Formats: sequence, structure tokens, C-alpha cells
Amino acid sequence: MSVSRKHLYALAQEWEDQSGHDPRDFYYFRGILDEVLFHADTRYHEYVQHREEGEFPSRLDRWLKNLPDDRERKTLFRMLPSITFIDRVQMMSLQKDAFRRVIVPWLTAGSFSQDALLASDYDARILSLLREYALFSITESFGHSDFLHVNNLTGLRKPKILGEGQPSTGVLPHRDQPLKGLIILEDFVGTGSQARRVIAAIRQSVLRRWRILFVPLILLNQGQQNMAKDKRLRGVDVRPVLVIPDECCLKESAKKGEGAEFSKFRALVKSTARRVLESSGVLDDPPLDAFGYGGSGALVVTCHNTPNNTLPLIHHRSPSWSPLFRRIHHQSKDGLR
Amino acid sequence: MTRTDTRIRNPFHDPLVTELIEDPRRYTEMFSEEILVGEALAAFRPTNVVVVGPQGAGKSMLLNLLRYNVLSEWISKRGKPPEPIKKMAPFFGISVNLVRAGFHAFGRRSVSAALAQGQKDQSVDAACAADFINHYLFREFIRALHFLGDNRGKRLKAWLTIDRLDGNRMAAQMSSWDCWYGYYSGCVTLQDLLDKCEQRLSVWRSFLNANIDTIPEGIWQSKATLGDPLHAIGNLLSSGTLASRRIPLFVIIDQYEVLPELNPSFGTTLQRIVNTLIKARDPVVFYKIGARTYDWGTELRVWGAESRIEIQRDYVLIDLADLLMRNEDKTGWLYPQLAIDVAHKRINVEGHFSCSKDVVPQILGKRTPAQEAAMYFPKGNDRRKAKLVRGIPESLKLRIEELCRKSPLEMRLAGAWVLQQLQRGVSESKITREVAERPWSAKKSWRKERIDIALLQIASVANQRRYYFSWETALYLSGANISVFLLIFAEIWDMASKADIHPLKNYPLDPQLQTDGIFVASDKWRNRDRNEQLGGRKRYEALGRLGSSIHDYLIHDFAISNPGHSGFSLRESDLWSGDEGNEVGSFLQRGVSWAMLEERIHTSKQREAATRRKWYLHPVLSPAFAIPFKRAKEPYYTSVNQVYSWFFGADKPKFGRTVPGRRHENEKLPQQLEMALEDGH
Amino acid sequence: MRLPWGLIKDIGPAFLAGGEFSIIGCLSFEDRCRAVPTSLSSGAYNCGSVSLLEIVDPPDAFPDYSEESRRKIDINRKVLKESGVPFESERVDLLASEDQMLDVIGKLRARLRSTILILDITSLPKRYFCFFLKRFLLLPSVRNLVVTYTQPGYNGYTQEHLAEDPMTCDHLPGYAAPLPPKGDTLVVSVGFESLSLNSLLEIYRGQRRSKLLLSFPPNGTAARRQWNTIRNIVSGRVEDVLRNNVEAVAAWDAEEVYKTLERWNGDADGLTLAPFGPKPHSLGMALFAMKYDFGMYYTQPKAYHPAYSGGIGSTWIYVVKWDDIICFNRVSAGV
Repeated sequence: MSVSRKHLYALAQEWEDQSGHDPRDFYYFRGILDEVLFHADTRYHEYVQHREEGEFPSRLDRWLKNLPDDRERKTLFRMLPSITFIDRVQMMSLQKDAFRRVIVPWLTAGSFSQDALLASDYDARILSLLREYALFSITESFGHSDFLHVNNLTGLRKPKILGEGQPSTGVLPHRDQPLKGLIILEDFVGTGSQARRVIAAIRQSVLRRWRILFVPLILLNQGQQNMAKDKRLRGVDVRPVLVIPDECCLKESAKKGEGAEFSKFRALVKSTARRVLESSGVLDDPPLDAFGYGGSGALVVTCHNTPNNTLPLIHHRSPSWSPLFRRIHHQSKDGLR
Repeated sequence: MTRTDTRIRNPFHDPLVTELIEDPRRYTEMFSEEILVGEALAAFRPTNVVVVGPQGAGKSMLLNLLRYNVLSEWISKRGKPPEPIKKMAPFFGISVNLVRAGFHAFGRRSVSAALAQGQKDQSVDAACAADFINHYLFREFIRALHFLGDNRGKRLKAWLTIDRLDGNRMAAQMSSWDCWYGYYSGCVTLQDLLDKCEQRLSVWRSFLNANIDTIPEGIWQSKATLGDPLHAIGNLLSSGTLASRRIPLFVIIDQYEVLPELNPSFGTTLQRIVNTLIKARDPVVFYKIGARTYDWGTELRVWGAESRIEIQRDYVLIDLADLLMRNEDKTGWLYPQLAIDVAHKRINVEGHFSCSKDVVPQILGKRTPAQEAAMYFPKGNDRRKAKLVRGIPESLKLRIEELCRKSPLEMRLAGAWVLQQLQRGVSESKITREVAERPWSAKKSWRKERIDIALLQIASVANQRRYYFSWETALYLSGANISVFLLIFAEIWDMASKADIHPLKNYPLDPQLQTDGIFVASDKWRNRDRNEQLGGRKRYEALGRLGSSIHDYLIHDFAISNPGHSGFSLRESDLWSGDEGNEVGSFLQRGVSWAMLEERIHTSKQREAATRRKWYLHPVLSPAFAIPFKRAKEPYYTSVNQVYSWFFGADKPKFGRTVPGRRHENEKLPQQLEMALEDGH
Repeated sequence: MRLPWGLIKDIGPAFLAGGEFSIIGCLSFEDRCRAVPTSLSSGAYNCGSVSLLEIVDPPDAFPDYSEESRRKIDINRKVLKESGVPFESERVDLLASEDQMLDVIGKLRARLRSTILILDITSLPKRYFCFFLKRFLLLPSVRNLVVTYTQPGYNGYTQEHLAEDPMTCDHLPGYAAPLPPKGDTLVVSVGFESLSLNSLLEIYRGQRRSKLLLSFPPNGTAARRQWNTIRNIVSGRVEDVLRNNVEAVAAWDAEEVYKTLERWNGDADGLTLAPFGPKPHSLGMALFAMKYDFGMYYTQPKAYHPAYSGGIGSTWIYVVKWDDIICFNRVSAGV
């Protein structure tokens, strides 16, 4: 067994012993550790970024060691079950659902008759419809090839990446093209500030009659609300696949329905903010808000990366802070998320 | 693929038992021949046998050895059958899992009702079920013949001395048996027979699955009479057609006991069909059934008559629990050797480690009560020790502390002895004189009965969980149930592994580590019953209430007046009288069958003609409730009404008898005792 | 295989707007049991009859939720009546035998006035809806069969045990497996409760070939509960969870479940199915089991928590039979 695992179990044992097995104080640290390490061995190892940080048990060991105070360490440990990890199989399922439940009904939009829905060439008909749309994503982190592959989509125009700024003329389809619209996908959208800007610009640039569908695989409820209110997005259909509710996010102020221990976690986020947010050097793009970009307070990690809406104490490496799932970031300060 | 950190492999994880049943190779590596003693050997003789025992006792493991493919693997690998059965006459064993086969569904959809526009006729439906089981077992026999005919069955064939296996000739012979009423006519090969047989079974299945609403005439008109085809198979094996010797046919029947549960209206009829096979006392076919302890015996009638199958006359009963608990604590107690052998095989085969048998008990080591007691007070001059003798006069207290030399165990036992004397009205001066003899040590049986409770009380005073460690502890906690034993060992091994300790390199394992593993095992056994076993939800609640009450009673009994009151006793005659009696009786029986309760006969100390039985929570639950796991003589004598209120009432159960001077835990205590308890818990 | 499915607002009009239909559903303690009878008894739809079954738990079910369940059922009955939904209801036992269920089907058929039958499986226990599904698919008089399912509302499922007191493992009525050794690969659709899955393994001993089907989306909390179930099933043995034997399919996508099973069947000597997950997954499994004559095994709980789910979410529709053609007999050319 690795040194890290051994240390983690010893720590969990010590914490349980401290509580004296009084049911009022008792927290099943070892049980949670068993569960977390089970996830580590079956799923968390799919996290692709910063492999040099080591395997999950050693990262967890270092993460807890960030805090010299034992009570704070316990609080940090107790945050673990609240973290949602979207593994590879789940991402594929989101991509499938994006196509089957979101895109297809939008494409057919009530135009398919009974016969068409029952037709033996239904799949081909859908594909034909889809060919009348251009596929995009806002950033390169959306796995287009996976999306096409899991949904058996062949013969389509090559999907393109829009980028974070004003879409360049070369990227958007020309108005003369025989298209009916655009379908824009993205893997994760937090507050939506970047996505709204990009999509609003696209809405302005392309033909009015072209339909636009935006399908974030994962969208924070905060972002969903922002998008719903944004008048620039009139004429754009926003249909997320999975919405993360506010109660699953650790915001700076308490929200109704949030987890029972969130107040403790909140205090910890605030007390560690200075250390967590410190820049680690010129190549770093340190987060500005201890509660994640836009104060989102997300507790989400995907196998591809940790969004910057997620609490920095989970993903940011600083000179005095070792992260649990270190995020890879892009150069621009105003990243999408 | 999943990633696993390099962890010391745990050879004890279940559900290997279920996997072993279907994998002859692994089975032969893991099966312990230690069980093949005494009455267990009857399973391998040409007689009808019913093997009973609680869940996890090892019934399936024992009966599995009878199956032709398993025995074949054994003989192929080792050259001969297991030593204890080597000298017995060879046999040919086929099997049926009644639920997997779909037999249990007959009657849920009535053939007679479907054919007669709603008019149900149980005898017709039973005849259909009988036909199904006839043909199902025939199918198993044909498949077994295929097995014998190819390379896999070579060694088995030799053991059976079968030297005339001609598939086509046999097919011709079998297809013409009268019992088939011409159904198999035209079949010339074994494969033909198999195909035709499977077609027939598929029709029954299709009907029960409500895919079809009628039974084809050809099948309807050729229903085989129960047992006739099996008798014909048995005759074939015994007639000299295949071999020069008579080969009895063994039929192993699994899942017999669940028939009434899965088929409330017709399940007992299906059981009666099986009973009829047993009652026939066929000289060439012998039935072997495994059932949980009290799931056998609820229906003993045969089909179509009120006569019953009779033990010793029609079948032999092997009670595995009895076999394994007999001579407990004495020479000749079988269970420890079985446990060692099973553990040894697991370690070497599943774990791929290498260790000798004598190492196995050493992994958990030994313990003495004094050693355990000292662990609760690692600091010799711990002032809390004084609470071990609270409640007794100061002068005696000092004297006892002097005599006991600060040994916590001696102090607690001494304190209990003194309190007992005081309760009996013995004068302080007399007690003072008598303590010099250290009667709590001198009276061996008095001491032995109280040690377990004393240790619980010491742990409680020290505000700690009790320690559970040592080979002996694991044996007793498992209650002679091999599945419980494996669970305990699995969890201890897991704890060691998590602490990066290799059990084979660092033994005996640390007591705390063993304790942690045992607590996990105790919780798991309890939760498994709750979440997975029939009636477990209710048992969880009821036994939870009872366990807590037993704990409260014993912990507060500082005089340890009634060391046996970790169990309770009822008159057998009360159990089945009235609604409450029936409900209590059923609950207790199911608890025993599912290895959540332990039942023993005992001789009543009261002057009464009635026989009594006593029950305890299964020993593995002792850690969960902090109650003793060793049995002392006299349980708590109670009534069915009281037991009913414990299990099914709304109020917290009051367990145990209030003795003079000692109040029940809910009642106000004398000040001294009260102080002792408050400080202790 | 061509199974038109989607939200009822998207697909419903194409199949239901034209003609008259009958609804068979369940009057239960869940709010969502009212969704389909209410929404389809009004407006543009022409609902001929609504028959609701009231499922009675066995008397020895533990814990005894009967009083609270009864109260909630009465509330739902009242709400339906006040909404003007004309329905008939009948009490039936949870553990009804195949014959008893056939009798119920007979009575329901007598009330059918239309060629379109809607089977609302929202609150119908699996042993009922799978059996009904089979019988109605096989009945020539039911030319068109549509299955509906309504998700719970925002409150989702209770955090307590959804269902307890499981029985011994048995096949679902109508879905006994073929003779062994067929069906050597066990496929478990994972739910929130392990519900005596080990007793299923007692029947299917030595099933080292096992596949797990998770439902995702809809949400991360549900996913965590499912993974905890998996952990219980394998007793924490990580090495028993082979990632290529685990798939996730959206909770509402019955068709994708069917396709996944087809893919797995290609590399097996038959599948044995254990539908412990969401009902649309069970629907996909039932259709597959019918097509290939495989078995479905379940450990039926006797006690259902009266707060099983809260609120009313989206309703999905699955056109399992149309113009007398069962979905799995419809040719799909693919691309």
C-alpha cells in the first residue's frame, strides 16, 4: 500500500478515535475514505490534467496537509462527498443525451410526422437534417470527435471552434451557404458570461433566419438564469443537458437548501483564500475569487479538467497550496469559464 | 480499466462462496474435507438426505460435492475422491435449482384454468409441474452423459467403472421408455433427446411466461408420472447397462425452501411434489436437499394425500449447526479444525500466499481476560479504576484494592462478588472475613460465567469500546458458522491491509486492528440481513431493540447477579399457542434460520415438566450491542407475552429480572450505584 | 428497432392527437401518478377511458407505511376527481400472481374502447408494468401501444430508503430465463438500493461476466448513490469493477438501453437482466428480454416509502407498438 494511503487511513482512524465513538460527534471518516478511494480507483484516475501531480491518494494526502489545524483538515476532508466528478463514461452519456434528447427534437421541431418517426430510414433523415446545420463549440475543450463518434454521425461538415473573442469571419459560415442554422456545443458553462458574449456576437453576425441552438453539456443554474435574462440571446435556444442546481454550489452567502455542512466549508474557503489565490508565477493565471469565477462556488470536476467556476481550493496550485484536481488554464484572463 | 494501488490481496472476501459453487476448479481447491465426518457422510450414501443449518453454515458447499461435474473435477485433479468418501460406493449426482429452472412458477399461472376457461384444478397443475421436473432432470442426465462421453468426464467415468457408454444405444433405449408415452419416439441420438426435451421445457416456460395460452396436445397427452422417469434413469445406472456395478442416482435439489415464499398459493403443493419423490423411497434414486434450519419441516405431506415423509424412515436429517457446535469447548469439537482448514485454503489458494496450517490461529493470536482488562487502563494508576468497586463500603474497597493489586479484572469481579453478598444480606463483617480467600478467583465456575460481562463493564467504565481479538474470540463470535467466520477474517485482513500490515508477516495482529475489523464484520452481518434477507428489515428493528435492552441490563448489573441473562428462555409449549405464541415462534425460527439468533436446548432449573429452549442474539452481533458472546448457564426465564412485547411492542423492552437491591435500569438506583454508573458511561 | 420517444409535448401530438385512446395507470401515493391522466384527459386529446390500479402492499410489509400511503392515495384520488378526470380504479395486490394479473388485464381490456392504449408506468411496480407490456404487445386487438413515464419533480427522490423489505430473488412475472447455461452474462441496471442483489447472485452463481448500467444524467447526487450501490454489490472490491463493463445511459432513454444490450449480447451467450434502475431503463430491458426471450430478475421490495418521490416533472412517451408492429420488429436502416 502506498505511503499516502497508509497515512490517510491512519489519519481517519485518529479522527474517529478522537470522537470517542460518541454518536453525537462521530463521523465515519474511514467509511468516507473507503468510498472516496473506491471512486479514485474506479473513476478519478481518468482525470487527465497535470498527471505530474500524482495519483489521487497522494494528492488527497497533500491537500489535507495544506492545513496545519486538525479541525480545518477534518472540514476539508468532509467536503469530499460534495464534489461531483463527471467521469469519461458519464461524459459520453452527456454527449449522447445532448444529441438524442436535445438536438434531435430541436431539429425536427414538430415537423416529423408519425410516418417519419416510424420510418426505417429515420436515422438517415435525422442526419440529413443535421447536415443543414453547422456545428461549433466555443472552446477546444469540447470533444467534437467523441461527440460524433458516440452518436454515429458521419458525413457532417467539420465542426469548428469559435474561440473566446469576436468570432473571426473565417470561422462562421458564409451567408450564402445552404444552411438552416448553427448548433453550438460546449462541455461546461459556469456563469455564462463568456458564452453569452460569443453567442450574442454570432447572433448579430449570421442571418436572422438561421436558427441557433446552444447546448452546454453541463451548465450551472446561475449561468442558466443569466442566459435566460440576457436580451442579446433572444432568438437563441439554450438547452443544457445537465444543470447543476445552486444548492450543490458553495456560494459566498448561504443558500436555501444547501448542504448541512456548507457553512463550515464556507468559513474554510474564506480563511484559506489568501493562500489559495496567490499566484504561483508568471505562467499562472490565478483565480480572483475564492468562490470560483463569478462567485459560482461550483463543486464540479470533469475527467477533462476542473472548471474555473469550481472552488479554487480544489484546483489552484499556489506557492502554499496543493490542489486536489489541478486545473489546466488558458492564457486569457477572461477565459470562458 | 480500474486502477488499484498495490494492496495486500484479501483472500477472504465474499461472495466467493456463490462463485465457488459454479466453478468446480475453484471449489475443489477451497472445499474443506474436515466437514466430512460423522453424520455429514450420510449425504454421500444411497439414502434420502436433508441437510439443514442456518444461513451460511455450509450446506451448499457440502451438497455441491455430490454433483457429477464437481466430483469429476476433484477426481481429475487429485486422482481420487475425498478421503472420507473414497471407500463409499460411487454415485452419480445431477442437480436442479428449482427457482433457476422456473419450477416455482407453476400454479401462479394455472394450466388447468387456461384450458378450462377459468376452472382451476390443483391436481392438474401439480401434474404439469411434475412433468416439468421429470423432464428437467432428464435433461440434466443427458447433459451429464455428454459430459461423461467426452474428455472432461474421463476420470469420473473410470471411478464409476462405466465402460459401456454408447450414446446412440442409450438414446434408443431411453427414448422408448414407457414413462414418456411416446414423446421421445424417433430420437436416435443423445442430441435428439436433448433437443426434444428442451423444446418441451420451453413450452412450459412459454406458458408460465404468458407468451402462449395453451399447451400443445402432444405435450398434454404425454405428461410423465412423477418419479417414473427418474426411476428409469436410476435403473439404467444400476442395471449393468453402463457399468458392471450398481450406480445410485443422486438428485440434489436447491431452493426447495423458498417455494412457498415465491408462490404463496401453490408453493406448498410444489413442496409436496418433491416430498412425494422422497416418500417413494426409490431404491435407485436418492434425493438430497439443503434447507435453512426451520424452513424444513413446515410442509411434510406428500402430494395428493395426507401422509407425511418421516425422518429416519424416508430420509435422514443432517443438522450442520448441531454437528459443528457439538462438543463445543471440548476435545472433539469439529468447528475449529474446519475453520483453520478453510482459512488455510483461502490464504494459499485465493491469496496466493504460502503459509502452514499452524500459522492460521497465530495470525489472531491468543488473549487472556486479564491481558484484555489491562488494555482498558494502560496507565497503571488510572483513578477511574476506583469505579470498578463503586457501591461497596469504603473499608471493603480498600481491602479489595489491596488484594487485587490494581488488576482491573480482579477488582471488577471482586466488586461484583461483594455486591452480590450485600444483596443477599450477608453482613459486612462476614464479607470482610471472606474476601481474604479471594472467592471471586477460587470459585471457578462463578468466575468463568462472569468474566465476559466484567470485561464489558470495565470497558464501559474506561469509556471505551470493548476489544475483540484473538483466534478464540473469532471462533466464538462466528457461532460455528463458517460464513460469519470468513466475514470476520475478511474484515480483519482488510483493516491490516489498510494499515499496510501483512497479516502473514506481522502476526499476531494488533488487538485494536482486530477489534476494528470485528466491529465492521458485526455491522455488516447485521446490515446484510436488514437489506438483503427475507424479513430482515423487521428483524433489524426488533433485534436492535432487544440487543440494546440486553446491553443496558447487563451493563447496569454491577453485581453481575445473572450472567446468563444475555439470552432468554421460553417453554416450548407456549410458543405455538395463540396468535402471539405463533408470531413469536415464527419470528424466532426465522431468526435462527437466517443466523441472527442462536438457539439451544437447556434443562430448566425450575420444577416443571415442560421442556424449554433458549435463544441468544447470534454471537457476531455482540460487538454491535456490547453484550457478551460467551454463553453462561442460566438465561432469563420469560414468557411469550413479554417476548412478543420486546419484538413487536411500541415500548422500549425491559430485559432481565430485577433482583432485591438492584433496580431495573429505568428505576431509581441507590445513590452509590447511581454514582458508579454515571461516572462509568 | 425503431422506438419513437421523447417528451410528450414533442412526440405526443404525432401519435395521440388524431384518435381516441385509453389510459391504464396507477393511483398511488406519488404526486406524479396524476400527471398523465390529468394532462391527457383534456385539451386537444381524446381520452376514451382512464383505468387506474391501486396497488396494495402485502400486510406483512415492514415498515408499515400503509396509513400514510392510504392518506396520500386518497389525496390524489380527490385531486383527480376535482380536476374532472373520469377514471375507474381497482385495488390489486402488489404480489399478484400471473393469473391474477391476467384477470386484471381481462377486466381492463373489457373497458378499452380505442385502438390506442397508453400504459402509464410512472407509478406502476415493475412486476406489473413489465407483465402488462408483454401481454399488450402480444394482443392483436391492441394495435397501438404507447408507454408514458413522468419523472419526479424538483424534489426528486427521497434520501431515505426508497423501498425496503426485499423478497427472495425471482424472475419478473412473464420473464423467466431460458434454460441454463444460456444467459451467462448478467446485466444490472443500477438503482439506489442494492436490494438483495446478492440473493440474485445466489441464483446466478459464478457470474463473473457482469455488466453494469448506470443512469446519467439526470443528476450527480443520483450518480453518487448508484456508485455507492455498486460499491456495496462488489463489497468494495475495486478489481471487480471493469470499466469497460460499465455504461451510463440517460435515465429516460429506453431505446439507448436496448441498443446497449444488443451490443453486449453480441459478445455473450445470452443476457440475464436485473432491472434495479429507473423505469425507462427497465422498459428498455423488458423490450429486449421479450425480443430475445431472456430472463429478468428482481428482488421485489414489499414496502415502498410514501415519500418515494416529490412533485411532477417531465413526461416521456415511448411508442412501443404502432399499426400492429412492435418497435423491436421495426426495421431501422441506420446510417
